[in-house]
Amino acid sequence: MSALDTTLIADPAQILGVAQDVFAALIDDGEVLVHEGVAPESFDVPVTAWVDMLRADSPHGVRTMVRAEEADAHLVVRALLRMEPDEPVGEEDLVDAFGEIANVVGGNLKSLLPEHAELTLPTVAAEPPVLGREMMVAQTPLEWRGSCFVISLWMLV
Amino acid sequence: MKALVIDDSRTMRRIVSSVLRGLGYEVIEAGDGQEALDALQASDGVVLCCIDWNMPVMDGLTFVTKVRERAEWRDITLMMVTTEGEHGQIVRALAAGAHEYLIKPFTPDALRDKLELLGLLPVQEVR
Repeated sequence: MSALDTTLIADPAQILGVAQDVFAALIDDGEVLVHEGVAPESFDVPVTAWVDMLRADSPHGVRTMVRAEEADAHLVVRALLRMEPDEPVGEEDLVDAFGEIANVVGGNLKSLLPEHAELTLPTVAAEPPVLGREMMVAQTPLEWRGSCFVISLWMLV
Repeated sequence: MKALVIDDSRTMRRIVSSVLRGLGYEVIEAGDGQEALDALQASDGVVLCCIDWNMPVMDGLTFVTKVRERAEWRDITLMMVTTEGEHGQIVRALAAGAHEYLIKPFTPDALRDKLELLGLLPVQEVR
């Protein structure tokens, strides 16, 4: 079977648009994400959330990944959960809320695929698993309230 | 009026429940379709279910199908609240018995408008 056609979703403008919709609706009530231009090569204390788009009849799939410094992920979780600015973010809240951001971003990108794929439940960890044969097809660094978030798409082959 | 919010994400349950409570609903929550069936069984007076699609144990589409098999639950309004925005998925959900479909991300106003469309706004909230 051939790989999923990612032509539409691998467009950085498309990814930015989806991320802006997600942040505007769920977090900021209109605040805009600014494209920073260059993605950081690595994070000191990373948090990564991802969902996969898979076809039942094919080993190929597409992964949507959201990465940030843990401290910045805490900022977005506090905003999402309407927490106080200095309220500590527990591990459970971090995994649930940051995972939901990847879920909503990935789900909206999936709807742009020309064919049906199933969306996996979100997974959150410091680093994503290394599969060995994945290939990045797009990466979009975003800025939100001075914090950097990187959304990337990976072809799973 | 009582609503059941079904989502495996506590974050999303919190967001949806908060909007519904703000509109005057009493809200109960479930983390998957099976938990939701158990909650419906144990709770009288639910008029609305807001249902995520992708959940562990039992997904939202299966939940809709199972609710529609039960005559005593035929008056409950089922609204999918999900990231599944493909046309084919929307058609599947409506064919299975869902009444409305709200795609994440959504604003509180979008949820309110859907409820108004369904005639499910508590009386004091009707514009």
